[in-house]
Amino acid sequence: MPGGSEILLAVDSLSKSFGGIQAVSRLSFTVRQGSVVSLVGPNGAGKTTVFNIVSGALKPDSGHVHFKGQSITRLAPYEIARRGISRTFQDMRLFLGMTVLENVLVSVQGQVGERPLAVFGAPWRIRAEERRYRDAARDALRVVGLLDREDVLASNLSYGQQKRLVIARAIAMKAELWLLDEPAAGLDAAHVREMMDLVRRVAGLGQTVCLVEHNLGVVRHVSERVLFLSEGTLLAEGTPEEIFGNRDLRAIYLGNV
Amino acid sequence: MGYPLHILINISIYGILAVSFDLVLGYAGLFSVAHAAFFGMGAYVAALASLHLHTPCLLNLLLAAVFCAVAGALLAIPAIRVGGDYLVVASFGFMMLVFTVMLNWHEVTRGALGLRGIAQPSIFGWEVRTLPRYALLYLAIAVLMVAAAWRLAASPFGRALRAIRENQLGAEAIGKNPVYFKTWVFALAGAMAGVAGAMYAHYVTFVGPYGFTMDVSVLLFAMVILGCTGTIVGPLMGAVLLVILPEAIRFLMVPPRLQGPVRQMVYGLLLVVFVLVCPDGLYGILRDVRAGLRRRSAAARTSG
Repeated sequence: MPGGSEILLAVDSLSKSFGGIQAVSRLSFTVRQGSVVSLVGPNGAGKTTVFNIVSGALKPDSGHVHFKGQSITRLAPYEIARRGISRTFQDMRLFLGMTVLENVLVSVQGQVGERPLAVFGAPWRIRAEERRYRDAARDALRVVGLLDREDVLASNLSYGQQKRLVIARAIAMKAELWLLDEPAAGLDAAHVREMMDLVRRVAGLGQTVCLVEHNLGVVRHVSERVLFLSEGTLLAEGTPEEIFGNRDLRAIYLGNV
Repeated sequence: MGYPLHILINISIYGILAVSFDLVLGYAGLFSVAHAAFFGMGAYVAALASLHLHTPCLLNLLLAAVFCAVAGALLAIPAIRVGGDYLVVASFGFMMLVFTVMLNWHEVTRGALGLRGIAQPSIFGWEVRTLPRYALLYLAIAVLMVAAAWRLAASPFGRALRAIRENQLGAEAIGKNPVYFKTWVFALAGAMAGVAGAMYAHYVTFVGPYGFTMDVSVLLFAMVILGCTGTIVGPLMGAVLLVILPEAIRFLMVPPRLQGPVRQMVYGLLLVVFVLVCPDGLYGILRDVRAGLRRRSAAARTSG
């Protein structure tokens, strides 16, 4: 597996509380380029909160987030997405009234045609770009196996297909870092296997992925490193074998305290 | 000959209004009741320019467009902050503000008396005084405006608008800045409505505050919803329908006193019927008819 040694994402001493609840407490970790890292832990451990802070949906009470060496702590979500971070959601947030192809097309970055003045000023350039974007979108759909459904409304897809569309959007974004929030949730065993193979495939091509997952089979199958969170702090860090082999961590995860 | 041309001229003006409002309501999903305010501002800008600066009609259209584009961008500032249901209230406030200025700024707008004597168009010596010339000019402008709206809607800009409408947080997660898109759509749609207003001013040659009330905003809502939001063509058909309808009602032997109320009742009835029976509006009917025709010709080919 390719393993670039550069640090792509650096989370430094993040803290976040909601009212009286400390969701994240002085959390620090790094994600290296080309690696696949999973965040695991019991519910309420702060995993999704970490994702929300990194992707800009939430601002931390203290601490910093650095991406490719630059601070992104204070940026808006759309700015962070443009910098190269693709964040998926547990509730998917697909554009249900648009077709599969449109969902992926709109995810392509840097479209000149999104500027109204360019729409009227340089229509030929936009036409040429649209052709390129369509090809890129179709490539993404081919990877996730949705090419034959490109004209179907996203709302008419099955749950498993919608989850694959979410990945297609991330591929089309050409984001350097993927934050996948429970990609296997709600899927049956066959679809989970499909999702795992998909993630492994893109990881094999060098994609840096950070996962939040409850399905430990998925975590074991795709991750090189596992970060175990509990009550907002990082309890342990290691390979899947090290983490899942640890009896104390298993107890915390399963709640046998 | 005069009567149908008058209807054509009205269709041109309201077609631009309906199509530009579709960009706001249908594509961006912004529930704004302020569109009539831009119609009014455009009319007043053109009237004032014509009366005080004696500028030619086409220039007045441009001035109206620019003024309303800026006004639209300004409306976007509070509108974007509040979003959702509160946008209705914010746009309502904007309408009231504009109406109050029209009604009370006597020095400029002459209040309820309005501005009269607006010059009729003269395009490089081509005097537009007769209905056929008005119809030709206004139809040409309408075609241009509708084509521009269509171009915007079909572009990546329009696609991003729809994404923001469908799921704003999802759109942000793929790098779309909602403030940018919403500001632009208010500015562009406002500019088009301003052009329609300027056309109105140069046709009726009189503008008054009571021509630009909430009733007009509601009428535009009806045009877009009956036509089918987010299709451009639908709202255009909605404009045609709702311009022709009051004229048709006139032929129903309804006493003049009752024509206003009957018109409102018919609008209401139409809205209810359409929502229940054809939720995809006039566009849906057109689409189904075309599909039916295609099926029939395919069947004829296979059987023949």
